[in-house]
Amino acid sequence: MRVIEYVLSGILFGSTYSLVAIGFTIIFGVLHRLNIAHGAIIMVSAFAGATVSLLLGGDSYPVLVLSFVVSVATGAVLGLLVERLIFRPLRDSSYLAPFVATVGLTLMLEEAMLLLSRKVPIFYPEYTPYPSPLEDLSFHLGDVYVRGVYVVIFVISLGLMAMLHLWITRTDSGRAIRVVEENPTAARILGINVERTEMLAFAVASALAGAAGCLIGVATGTINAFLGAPLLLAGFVVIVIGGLGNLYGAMLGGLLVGVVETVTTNLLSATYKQAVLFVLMFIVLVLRPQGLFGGGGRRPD
Amino acid sequence: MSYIVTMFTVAGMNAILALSVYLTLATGQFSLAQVGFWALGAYGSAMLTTLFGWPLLPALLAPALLCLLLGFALGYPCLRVRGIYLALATLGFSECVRIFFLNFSYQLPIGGRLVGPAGVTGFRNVVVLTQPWHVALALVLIVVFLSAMERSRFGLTLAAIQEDETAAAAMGIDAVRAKLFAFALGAAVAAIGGGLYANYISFITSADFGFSLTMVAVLYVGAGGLGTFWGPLFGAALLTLLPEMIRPLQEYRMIFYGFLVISIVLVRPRGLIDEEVVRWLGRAVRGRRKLPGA
Repeated sequence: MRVIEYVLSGILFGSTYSLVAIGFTIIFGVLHRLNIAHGAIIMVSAFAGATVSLLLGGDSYPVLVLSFVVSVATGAVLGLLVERLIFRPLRDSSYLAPFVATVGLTLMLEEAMLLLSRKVPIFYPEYTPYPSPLEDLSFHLGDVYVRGVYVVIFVISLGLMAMLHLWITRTDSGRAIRVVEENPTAARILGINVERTEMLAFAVASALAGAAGCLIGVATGTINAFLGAPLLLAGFVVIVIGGLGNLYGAMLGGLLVGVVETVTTNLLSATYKQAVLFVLMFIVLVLRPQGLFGGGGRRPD
Repeated sequence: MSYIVTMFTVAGMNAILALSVYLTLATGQFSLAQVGFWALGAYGSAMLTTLFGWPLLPALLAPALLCLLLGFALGYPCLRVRGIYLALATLGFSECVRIFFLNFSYQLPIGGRLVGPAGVTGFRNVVVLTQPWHVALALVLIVVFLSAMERSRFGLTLAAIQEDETAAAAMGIDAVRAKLFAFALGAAVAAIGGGLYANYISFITSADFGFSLTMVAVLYVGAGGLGTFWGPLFGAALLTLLPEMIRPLQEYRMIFYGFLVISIVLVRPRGLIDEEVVRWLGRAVRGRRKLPGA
């Protein structure tokens, strides 16, 4: 019975990893570059959302919705800035240059946020609370205990993924993303504005990161300036398991990583959870570099 | 004075880490395993010197040899993947090493108290054996080795692979073997650096060898410059000493540091000192020397 509980909460919380990894993988698919600042964008968005909750009172649902919207908007704006200021000028350089620049940006954002959490009275230096009316919600399914907030974040994540699926398969701008992923030159010939599509990819990917920041903050109840790095690492594992650039792989991979994490935390020890994930990632990379789910991913080269 | 010596010693050890990243990058392999080997070297040599009373030199070389072998073992499966994929696979290795030491305890009673790696709390009271000149000597030896290697047949092989692996393979170069050697050598260099570090700092924890050190090691090379060993050497020195020089900025200095790294890469995507700069400097120096005879 316990194991069912772990698996269930793993799937529910894992949906936020899916959001993180989807954003990551969209950017990788379009630009073939890793955005290391993705984790820092999640962190800053979470702080933006928490600010709304802290200022307007945490236990009302309209405030929660507003703080979610603010998180998403913050993510999107930051994503656009990162694209414009770092990835666009470094388009023609090797993958190392944007990697280094986004590491620098991560350092900057983390330190700036640490400074703010010391200076701004509503924040706390160690852990800033992210109040929400969902905190104490919980219920039982038979013997299985379920946290209400996990169900809510799962439903919202699933909704976002459904919207993303519709956007990418049904709309012109969404389809343009897939064309650019497949072949930028052909996309140009077809009259697609590649630069604009890249910007859009960054905005959507980072908006999802912002959503993830809010949901994770609400689920854990506290945030700090360094919450991005472990999420970035989890995101790495998810996109490798799902296949780099494979959107649906990232969705399923996130849930799988969530399950592996909660099960190892509860049955083994919390300190080993990342080790288990990285061993899993290593095995997938060496034996099945295109990812576990179908052949949708890109061939490694 | 001793403060300046300390800063330069730390910069020297960071330069060794940067050079080990550079060694693998010289074959076009972007490896993030260096911090894992660095951690193995640090814990390994600290245990040998502190718990078993070994002198520094063998305590540096034994973990380095182990990491050389481990480099071959890890490199072989890892070389199936390239670019970002290799980076992620090797990052997995570094993180696993860190988590191993997070859970690793092995203590012996020495001088009436328990000493040794103690899980989360780390390894305190490592005997201080590393002198600043040890670091300087190690750095000089590694640089001499690297510049000799660059002129050797092996160095040309590595350059050919970096330029175009398929073309190199077509000319009969065993690319896999050469890449494996570079990977293993990089591992050994990192282990030596880690060993020097542990026996200098005297207190190490698994948290010192996390994702952030991996990122900083990449910054040394990426901001310092690609293509020659001068770049990582300069990058490590600059990025270690700079936060000290901008101390007046106080709490804003790390923000400034990040800003500086971004600016460097935006202005010079291949880093401050790339092969063009080195060639130009070389010509300038040589030109001046030749002038009287010409």
